[in-house]
Amino acid sequence: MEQKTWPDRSDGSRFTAFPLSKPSNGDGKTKLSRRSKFISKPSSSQTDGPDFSALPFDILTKIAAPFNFPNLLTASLVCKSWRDVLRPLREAMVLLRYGKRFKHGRGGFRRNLEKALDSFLKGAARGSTLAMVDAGLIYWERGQKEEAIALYQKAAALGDPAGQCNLGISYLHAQPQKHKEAVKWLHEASVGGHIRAQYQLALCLHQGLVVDRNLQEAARWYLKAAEGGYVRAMYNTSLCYTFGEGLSHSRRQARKWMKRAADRGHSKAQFEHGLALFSEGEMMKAVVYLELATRSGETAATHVKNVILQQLSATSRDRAMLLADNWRALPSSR
Amino acid sequence: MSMAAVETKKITLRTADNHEFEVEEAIAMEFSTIKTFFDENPDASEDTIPLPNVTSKCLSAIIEYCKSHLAFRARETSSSIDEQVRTYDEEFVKARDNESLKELILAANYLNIKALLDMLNQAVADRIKNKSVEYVRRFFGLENDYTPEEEAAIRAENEWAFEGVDPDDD
Repeated sequence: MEQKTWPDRSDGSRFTAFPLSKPSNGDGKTKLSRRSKFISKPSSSQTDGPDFSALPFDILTKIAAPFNFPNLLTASLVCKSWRDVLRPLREAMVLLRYGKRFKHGRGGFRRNLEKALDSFLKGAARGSTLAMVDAGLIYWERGQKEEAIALYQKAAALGDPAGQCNLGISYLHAQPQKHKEAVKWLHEASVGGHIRAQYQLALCLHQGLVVDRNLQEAARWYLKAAEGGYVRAMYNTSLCYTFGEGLSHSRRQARKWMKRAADRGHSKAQFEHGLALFSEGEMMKAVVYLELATRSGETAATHVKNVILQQLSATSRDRAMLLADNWRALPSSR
Repeated sequence: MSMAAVETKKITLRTADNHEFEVEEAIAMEFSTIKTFFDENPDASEDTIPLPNVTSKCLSAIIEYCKSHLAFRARETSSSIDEQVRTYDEEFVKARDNESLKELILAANYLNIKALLDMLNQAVADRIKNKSVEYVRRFFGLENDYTPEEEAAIRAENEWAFEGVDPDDD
């Protein structure tokens, strides 16, 4: 399940601007393989000798700490000793659920952040990193940064990608800034598949925050995040393809990703995509995207939009506005 | 007679099956348990440290792991190094059977070698996540010791989780 990681407001800052630079030749991306494999030789069924059912409880608890409920249940059903060891974590899941209901005020619960935090902390005490992250979020939103960071650190140490992502981001905002640690944790989370972390990591690499600007790495992570559904990453990926920054220049890929970002509500992408459609002669489609961009505050889109509108009949103009009114963004991972 | 080069200090470790291993100090310090012991007993460095919970086969693997990771760390961080580390870890795990892995986890825990333990734990976790119960049992060579009633009880107890009124993503 996707964990909410960070309040949006932090994104308004300096990281969203994509610097324009001269085109260069990018190489292909390196493939990342992180799956580790055990040899599945049949293990001697033994009554003596090491046996995974007798894995020490603290180790098993650590292993299962970042599990969601379905995985926790699977582990609990494997054998009775695992079931017994994992009981506190199952209890943590119940507390997590209550916490979320208090936080959002649903399922018959009235919204109550105090009780939400209380539930999350109880879940955290039982070892669930999911609860730790949610507790951390509430602390952070209240301005209790140190408490939040402490919880994120615990979750991150236990391998929770959301915890690692949040920890990385809090280090970026720390006074004084801790860029090296930030990148380290964002990298962990990214490798663990956390989409938002991948985008944030790409930004750091792009800006040359810790190491020298590494466009290839940045582009690789933008692309990964884009493939994972992150809209801003789609926009930046498109630009990488357009300028050949970190990725081989490709008009086709650039157009594809710009359209995807536009369809998911990215206002600059809607502008760019609208312009591209205009240059291809697709007037109706162009004007709809440009109208959407204008509505989202892209004032630069207004001029071109009006140019097209003047060329259209009244019926077409109305139809375009209706399309814009009825438009809905496609789902994304934010 | 004086040595021109700096001698690397060696620590002697004795395993459960009575083999003695001489390891460089740098490697022994990766074992937090040993490091703490030396911090508290600075004069003890000449003594042989007994490790009654660790077999020689296990200790060799651990020494090999720590050596390799120390070498990786000595190099500049880069994504290609990261890639190499990941590949190394994968191969390390792949080369071992379940029994050895269990031993390694216990030894890494006992000796408190964080990086190794975290890596092994993650490997176990990856073999449980999004798999079926049967797969996990088979993979780890575990017997199903549930009676049908016990199994039904635990499923019933946790049915609420699948009643799906709550969205997953908040």
